Amino acid sequence: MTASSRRTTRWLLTGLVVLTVGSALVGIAIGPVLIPIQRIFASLLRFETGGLSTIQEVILWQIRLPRVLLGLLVGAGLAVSGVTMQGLFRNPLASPYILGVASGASTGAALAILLAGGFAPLLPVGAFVGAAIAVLVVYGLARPGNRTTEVFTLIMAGVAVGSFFSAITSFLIFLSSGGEKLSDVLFWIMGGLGRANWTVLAILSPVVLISIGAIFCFARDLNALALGEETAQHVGVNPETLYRWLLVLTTLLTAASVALAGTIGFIGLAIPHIMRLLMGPDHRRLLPASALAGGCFLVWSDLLARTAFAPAELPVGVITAFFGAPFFLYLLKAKKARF
Amino acid sequence: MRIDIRNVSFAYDAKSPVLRDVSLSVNTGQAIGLIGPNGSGKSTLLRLVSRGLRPDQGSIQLNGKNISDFKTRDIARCLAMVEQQRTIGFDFTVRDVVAMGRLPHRSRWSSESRTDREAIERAMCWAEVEDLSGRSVRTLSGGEGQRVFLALALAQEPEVLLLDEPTAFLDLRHQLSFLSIVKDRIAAGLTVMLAIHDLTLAAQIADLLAMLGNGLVACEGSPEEVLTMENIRTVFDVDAVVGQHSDPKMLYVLPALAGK
Repeated sequence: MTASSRRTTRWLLTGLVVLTVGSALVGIAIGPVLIPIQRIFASLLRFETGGLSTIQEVILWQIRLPRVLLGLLVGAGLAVSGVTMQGLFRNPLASPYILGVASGASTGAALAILLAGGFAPLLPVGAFVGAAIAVLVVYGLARPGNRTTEVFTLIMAGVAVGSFFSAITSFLIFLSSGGEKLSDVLFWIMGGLGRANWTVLAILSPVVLISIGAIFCFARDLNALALGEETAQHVGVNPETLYRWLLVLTTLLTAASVALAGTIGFIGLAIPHIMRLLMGPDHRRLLPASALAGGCFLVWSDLLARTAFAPAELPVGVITAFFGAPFFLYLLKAKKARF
Repeated sequence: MRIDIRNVSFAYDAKSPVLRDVSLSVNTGQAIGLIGPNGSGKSTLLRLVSRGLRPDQGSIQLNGKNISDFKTRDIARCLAMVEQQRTIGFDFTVRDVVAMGRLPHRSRWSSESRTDREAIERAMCWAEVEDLSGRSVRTLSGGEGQRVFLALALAQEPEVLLLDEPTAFLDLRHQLSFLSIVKDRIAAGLTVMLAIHDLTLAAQIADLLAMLGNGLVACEGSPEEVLTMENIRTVFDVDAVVGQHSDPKMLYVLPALAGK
């Protein structure tokens, strides 16, 4: 990497940090009740309480702030896990959902909604358990054989197990024969940040932050892996250890995200590519950049999802793909990307 | 650094062993050339020494220490390898790739030190890839790629270098310049083990040759001892003329088309 491109990436990273803070403020400010941005600071830093009405205080602290924070966490989690999967499998089509996590989580969530009815806390638990079962089955199937075939078997098993769980989910939806539960299931599958609250955040944020931090520690090893498993080993990176750690971490990250926000598509697949086009392939910069960009992107998408057709709320996955895909295609053409 | 291969056997599948009871030794600052027909186990032997594969039986030692007792990172500090085929994920620049040779010498979070930078620049200079520095590794020709990976290996500052068909993609000039770089490093104390098809080049670069056939070491010794018409006929099933050119003094092998 030349000195000038290094300076560019530093600017881009700084810009992303500023953008993230800005996005969070805008996400908190805008909604059915507007909250002036300068007063958000005051309230967040507890300088004064007189600036906002009680209702605004409640909206800020109980609705908007948790929602924005959840957006940042889930967006960052999906993007980081996407970068990691693409780096690990050296495959541009890899996404956080490649090992069947999303399908398993959907089945778990659908079961929870249909069986447990309105008991809300069970949904994320069901989703997490579903995701864990799907991934365990995939790993179990892919275990034997040497390393190279293992990676392929892993992807194939992910696709197969994913299809199987999708079939179960479809069957459950068929059994539910319409009604409110069905729309609950469908809305969850399409993803959204509507379930944000402080309990959810307290559980999710340590998992997401620790996993992301741990993945950052493997940035150099992911760079070396781009040269192939054997070359990576020759420069002192043990591919087996790398696979073991990173698969566990990405699964944790994805399962936590999916359990709380449903399956939000596109971020995990495209944000890594977009950032790679802008920042270059070095994971030491790509990982933090993707985390920030994924968070920002989800906050903005969520803002649109809840305001565009207010008071109705669009599934946020519709927005992420609707705006993300054309931008991605534009970058592909403009930058003449090679994968 | 001295390499000792002791009674090593290896099979990808149990019915057809690739190597049977192979023993070879190379002294510090020596080069050993592995020659033999396709499938004779040359690359397999290199991958066993690089720990890409694990021997079924026998042991491999570096300076008397079993390689399975090394940590991955510790072995990367003294042993480097240039492989035959590679696919590179993502658009890294040539400089980025060569810099990865410093990974085993750096801690996880440290940035490039002056020692690192010097090692990288020296390696790029030796391998004649300074001009490619900013290029994406994906835009390189086969020969350029080969030199970049030699630079990566040299940036590791290894004591042992393994080369698998290093000249396969190179034009005549770069074959010779590649091997002369390696020869300079050998003179500076590097121990080299290389698999190579070109017998005439093998005779020039290597102090020792080991001719492999059917998973066994058919013969080993100096190029003059190993490269005889009888040996080549037995192992390769080819008729060849072996001769000595007097000035410059060199041994050459001219394979002859059958039926002439």
